[in-house]
Amino acid sequence: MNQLTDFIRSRKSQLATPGIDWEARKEAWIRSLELLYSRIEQMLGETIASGDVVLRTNTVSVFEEPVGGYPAPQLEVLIGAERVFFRPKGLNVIGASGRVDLLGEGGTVTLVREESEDQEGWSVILQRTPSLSKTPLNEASLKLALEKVMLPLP
Amino acid sequence: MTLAFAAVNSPDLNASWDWFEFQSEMLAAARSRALHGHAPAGPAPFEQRLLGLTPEEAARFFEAQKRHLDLLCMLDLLTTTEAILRVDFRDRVEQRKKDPLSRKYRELNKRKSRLHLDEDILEALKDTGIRAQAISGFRGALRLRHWLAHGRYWHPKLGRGYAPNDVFDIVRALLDEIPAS
Repeated sequence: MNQLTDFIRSRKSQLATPGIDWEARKEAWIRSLELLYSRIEQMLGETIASGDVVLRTNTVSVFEEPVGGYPAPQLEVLIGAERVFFRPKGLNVIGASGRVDLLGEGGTVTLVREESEDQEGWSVILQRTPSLSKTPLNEASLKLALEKVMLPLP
Repeated sequence: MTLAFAAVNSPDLNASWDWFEFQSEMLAAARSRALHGHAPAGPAPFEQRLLGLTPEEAARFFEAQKRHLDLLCMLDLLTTTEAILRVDFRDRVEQRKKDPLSRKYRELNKRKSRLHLDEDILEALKDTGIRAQAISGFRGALRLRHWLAHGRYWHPKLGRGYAPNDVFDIVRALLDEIPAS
């Protein structure tokens, strides 16, 4: 084997992703989205009961490498005439095991799914620069996130 | 930390290039770490800002970093070259050397109080027999320097594309042609 062949094979083996079961990860990801949306529904429970907020779930198409294309649930939140969406971005992201973007007319906020040994949680990225600021998803951070993505009141 | 803003009496093109190569290597290593897995110790603090980015978004982030680095490197190479040319001018005038370029520089120094890089120093170099191609290559790159030094707020008409190694070759070709005093 010459040095060139050796170099190319060595690079390929070092960068190879060791047998990740993307299908299983995708299924866990879809389940985690469903859990996230029910948690948001709980947080908004009072306003849903009073009719101030209406939730709808629909399906969007996600494509990401190396998973490919797949359908995933999206949560639509109607607050009066305004709408915001919790849209799944993908599971193959840096430093986390999934990402959902909260989209509104005023902007976008990123939510990341973080897993530790036996539990998973969602965090809200409040700012990226000059340094990263994130906080666990709860009623207070959901309020901050909604404020960021909804249009300011006139 | 307050920086020492002192005159650089021996501007060094190789130091600029070393700086650029080192920064490029660090950037490539950071990109490799981010896109191909973290070290066992976990993400480094600078990687926190990449949290949640897709591989495509992270690749775009690193490409933007590299582009910024390339632009800064080209500006650094061009301004360092100007400093080398002006220090050489000063030395030749002060040391009253007898070679044609030193004589030309002294004559220029008597005649003009404010020297321009392009019209004065480059013209004098041209008159002393430096290859026209080396001068014109550097003159073309001065348009790039002007654009970089003024914040790139207009669309430049550069006549060609430049990468850091192109600029290094251009300035090295010019400096290599300067006759010994």
